[in-house]
Amino acid sequence: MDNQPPKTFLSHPQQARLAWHDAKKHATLLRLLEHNLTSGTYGPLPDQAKDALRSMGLVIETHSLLIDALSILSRYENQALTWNKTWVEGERCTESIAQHAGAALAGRTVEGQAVDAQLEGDPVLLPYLTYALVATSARLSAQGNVSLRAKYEDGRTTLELALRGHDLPAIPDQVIATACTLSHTEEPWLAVSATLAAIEAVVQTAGGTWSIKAKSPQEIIIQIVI
Amino acid sequence: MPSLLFVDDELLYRQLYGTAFEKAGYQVRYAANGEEALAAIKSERPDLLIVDCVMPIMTGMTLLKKIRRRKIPTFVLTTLEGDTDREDALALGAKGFFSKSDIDPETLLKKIQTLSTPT
Repeated sequence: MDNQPPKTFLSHPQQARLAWHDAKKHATLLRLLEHNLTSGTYGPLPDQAKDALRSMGLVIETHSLLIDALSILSRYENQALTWNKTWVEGERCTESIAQHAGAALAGRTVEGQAVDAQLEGDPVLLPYLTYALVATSARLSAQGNVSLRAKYEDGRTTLELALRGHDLPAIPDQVIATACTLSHTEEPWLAVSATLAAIEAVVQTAGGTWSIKAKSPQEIIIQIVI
Repeated sequence: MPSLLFVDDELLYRQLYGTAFEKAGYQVRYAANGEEALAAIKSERPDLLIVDCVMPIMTGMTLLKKIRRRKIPTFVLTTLEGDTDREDALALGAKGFFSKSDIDPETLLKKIQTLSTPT
């Protein structure tokens, strides 16, 4: 018994996949319930209930973001994360970004533009990167507006996100290094940290590079090149 | 009133999506797996089929294979997307493939209507 190796529960890729599927399913159910309540599917709601639901919507969105990030990090650390190159519709990467981060971006502008109809990348992880970029930037600033461009040029796919506002992080290029230590313990920073770490894991797996730079005190550019 | 068969093993998904679909004017029937869906299709052909991927007894992909010749407008709505699920579903005749975490019921129906309109 003493020589028995420790049990593992998530190292088998299929077991891990199903575990994360279950976690994601419950987060998605919550989002769907919140959507149905907010949109009046069950009838009108009093204003106080709508306000409470808006707060709940942000919590649920952050919860979902965290599950996605931890799922990717778990696969990455088990050497089970792969980047499969194929052609991905550009619009698929940009069209639903407002929905992904809708609660965090309430009252702010978010724009997505696929410059090219087809981008080269993993069919699941490339859309994840656009979503993760938008969701993270929404949380780096309480007021900033977001615009995302996705293009394919010279054999590489580039995702470029611009965050514009007056309350941006002072030293953005340190954000990646700090975030990837997962040392933050306050919400929503933990979700931001985990998501930035997940972006790092995906970009590394894809053999790409990424950067966060301040173009001006009111504009940060996050760029991923794969 | 157009008829819609919604296939998902999770009762809550059937309830949450189903209520929204009914409010949008569809006559909705439900199935909890591919086998039940097949029986429902044989008893009465739906105008529209929305199906989950991961289900017990018979998966969504197996159902797509079995009903391909019936040419029912079919859309996949799933939580779990594997690397080739989207391509596989479209190759099996699905007109669209959507992730549950990316889309609300109303937007889903709008996209389905767009994809169902002959060009």
